[in-house]
Amino acid sequence: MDARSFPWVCAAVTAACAACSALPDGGVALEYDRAGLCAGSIWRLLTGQMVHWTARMAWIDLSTLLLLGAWVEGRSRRRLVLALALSAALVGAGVHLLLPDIERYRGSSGLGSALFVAGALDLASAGRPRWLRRLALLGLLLLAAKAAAEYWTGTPLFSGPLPAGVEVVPLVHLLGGLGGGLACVVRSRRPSTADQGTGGKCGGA
Amino acid sequence: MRRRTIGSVLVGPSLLLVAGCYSGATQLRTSALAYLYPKGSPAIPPSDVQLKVPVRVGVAFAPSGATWQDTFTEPQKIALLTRLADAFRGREGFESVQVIPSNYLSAGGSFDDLDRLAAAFGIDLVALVSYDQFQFHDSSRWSLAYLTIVGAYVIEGEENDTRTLMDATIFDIASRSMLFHATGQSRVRAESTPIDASKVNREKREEGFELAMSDLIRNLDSAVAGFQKQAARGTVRGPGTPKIEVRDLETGAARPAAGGAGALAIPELAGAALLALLGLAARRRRGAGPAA
Repeated sequence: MDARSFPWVCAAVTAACAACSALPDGGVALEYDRAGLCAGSIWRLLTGQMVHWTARMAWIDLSTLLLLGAWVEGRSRRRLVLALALSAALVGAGVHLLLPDIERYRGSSGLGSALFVAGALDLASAGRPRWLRRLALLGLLLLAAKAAAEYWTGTPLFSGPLPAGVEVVPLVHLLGGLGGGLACVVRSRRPSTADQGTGGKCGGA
Repeated sequence: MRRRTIGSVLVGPSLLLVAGCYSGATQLRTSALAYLYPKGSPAIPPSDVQLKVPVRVGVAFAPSGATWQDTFTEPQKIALLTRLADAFRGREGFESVQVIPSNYLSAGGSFDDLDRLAAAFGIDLVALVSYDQFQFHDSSRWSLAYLTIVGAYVIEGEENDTRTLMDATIFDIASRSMLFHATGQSRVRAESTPIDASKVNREKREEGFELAMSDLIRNLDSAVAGFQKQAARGTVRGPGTPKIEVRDLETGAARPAAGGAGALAIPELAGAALLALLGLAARRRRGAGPAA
């Protein structure tokens, strides 16, 4: 792997998230805090998705981000950036506008979900081999089903222990996934010269 | 005829009095506010609250001013406080709950008293229980039968109506702030013979306290939930009241309230790994070039 093909963006984002999560004060200054946001700390909309409540949560979220981010960036760096930007914006707006009971929020699962959807759509639209396409679609279906089940039942599935008063918010997975899907759609409709032939559009390879 | 009329006028009321047709009431009362802010003491403004969870709580009855009147005995108080302590135990955020006997508190002791309790018992919060019990005594028309002497033993002409209000107020000792309170009430009615009246009155007083405490414990859930909701918004009881910050006792980190987590789970991670591996394999098979 040469320096050009190394997933720099993904590595940088993951490293930044890991550094923020490892801050000694637990990322209090960076988490989404409704009161702080209303007082002018607008950056919390974004940085809240870079810090985590527990080490286990950070490990799983960031591992997923790294794995999928490296894959998506390997296919198209622009798509990765677009998926991250769209999902971060959708999740930040969703937490603030659609979840008024949430006072504080941490986690990068929205970004992970976005990359999951972007990666799966890319594989699914590649077409060959056929079993890979079906497997990618199955993965998408399972991810959507899990998020929907968690959303409607209000019970998180397979989630690890979280601090008291903190609950998993499945809506951010759906919003993050939507961001990843949108990134694929946008890139499919507006392929750049640089992306052509290297998977610039989902299934464009 | 006239003599009989005069006689009945004089004897009638006398008989009623002898028969015990009277009304009266007794009151037992303590007040947490009177204990914390005795007459003449200046109001102590509460400061912002910083709770380190899990917290340690002490439960105690606010001492009454006139102890010689108070027939509410210490064993009864301890039994009721134990029930209240049990209701607190097991709740999230509470480490220990200790019952504090009344003799550790002095009437009008105020927050200085609580500071000493905090040091002695190692508590952060105190739940001060106040009560106000009215017991009304009335004699019914059946009390006329007491004149027969035997009637005083068999006719239940004494009516007793006991109304009790009990209130537990939870204070943060360090900041002098009231965090929340829960109230319970009861009403107990009974009839008795004059011979048993004293015993029945005492039993009904105890029953009134028991029922009021049961009602208070039932209301505790909503009081705690309401407080947690307010605390999540950063104040004790809404805008204008002291700010509250909840921190973890061990780490010192701010304790989240109404927090949300964007957390993926092992299945998503496994799926992501599988997806990335398959994508990599497919890419190698196709021999795709580097990303743009």
